[in-house]
Amino acid sequence: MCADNNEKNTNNSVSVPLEKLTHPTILLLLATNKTHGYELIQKLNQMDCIDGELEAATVYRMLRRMEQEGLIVSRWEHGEFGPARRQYELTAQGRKSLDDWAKALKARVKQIESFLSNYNSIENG
Amino acid sequence: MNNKKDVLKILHAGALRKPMKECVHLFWDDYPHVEVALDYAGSRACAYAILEGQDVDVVALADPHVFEDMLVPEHVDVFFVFATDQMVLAYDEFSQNSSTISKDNWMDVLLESRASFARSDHNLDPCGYRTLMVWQLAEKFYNKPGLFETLNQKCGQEYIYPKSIDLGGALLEGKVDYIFEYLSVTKQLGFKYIGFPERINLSNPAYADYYSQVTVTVTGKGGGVSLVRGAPIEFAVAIPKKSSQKELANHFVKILTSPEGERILEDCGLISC
Repeated sequence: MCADNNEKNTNNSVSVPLEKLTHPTILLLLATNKTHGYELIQKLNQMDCIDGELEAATVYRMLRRMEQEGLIVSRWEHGEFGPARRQYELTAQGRKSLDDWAKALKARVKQIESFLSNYNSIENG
Repeated sequence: MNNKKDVLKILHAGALRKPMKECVHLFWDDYPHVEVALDYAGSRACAYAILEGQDVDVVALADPHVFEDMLVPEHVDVFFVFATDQMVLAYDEFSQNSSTISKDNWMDVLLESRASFARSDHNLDPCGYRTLMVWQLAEKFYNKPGLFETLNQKCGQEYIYPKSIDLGGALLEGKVDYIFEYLSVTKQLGFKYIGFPERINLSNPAYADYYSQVTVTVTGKGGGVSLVRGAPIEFAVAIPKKSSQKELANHFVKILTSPEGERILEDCGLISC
């Protein structure tokens, strides 16, 4: 039988991979405010649902891919001071993708709650 | 009939040499008869050239701060941030201790061995002041008091080059063993490298406040000094107010920031942003 190396490390402790939450979290942040990549990276790294440190390159590449997929759109914006930056905004397709993510995550939460409920009944005898 | 040939004059940071050349080839697909004059230097040296009257249609620099500090508002209205990068320690297989250097012992190798290392001139080139910032940040991160000063003393004047791209030449020729360089230039030249933690390598906006703890004083040509604060590495481009080829310049900047331009930047090791 193959060990699942993604979820188990050599100390027999388990880590649940949550790195894929970066994608819906970007959608979530852009649903609140349009913003540029620099600021988005700062906000992402303050979110509790993001596990560990996110590399800036990863986020910039993800933004480009999401724009190619039509989930977000960008345009150059500059204020009175400082440089012009590419500002990202959620599209209708991006909003639908965010809704789909929320539905899928709610279903996942139910599964996890069910697992923990069964576990607790074993623990409590 | 006007026989005068249109010329687009581009001045750019040395670190952008390869992507700029490739974008010029795309530009020629649309404007095959336009002559392109491509010139490069350290970013602060580029800004001095404009201040001294050099006629430029597109200027692309390795730090938006150089625009703010030297060119806005007299020569440039708007400048566009288009790429990011990170600092690394580059070397090749002929560098002293290259078989044993690692992300854990690079400071010991540089300081305790006969290995030489180089940086670019902080008064002319952002890669130079960013190297001095990396050394200060490393001193904090690894809790090694005096690290900055020791590195700074060992890296004497003979190991300070005008611009980051010159460092690559020095390493290729075996004049130095290690160089503090951008990751993009390192990849373009096929060197090996030691990557630094994100709190040191000036790559991540999430650490902007942390980076801003360190500063470097740069001296201008006239002897005036200004303070540069640590910040994530960014590259920016602008069309100077005095450009006589605004339409062509706009077209070039559109190429640089288009999906094709992004692919070129990515292939050259830069991160389009």
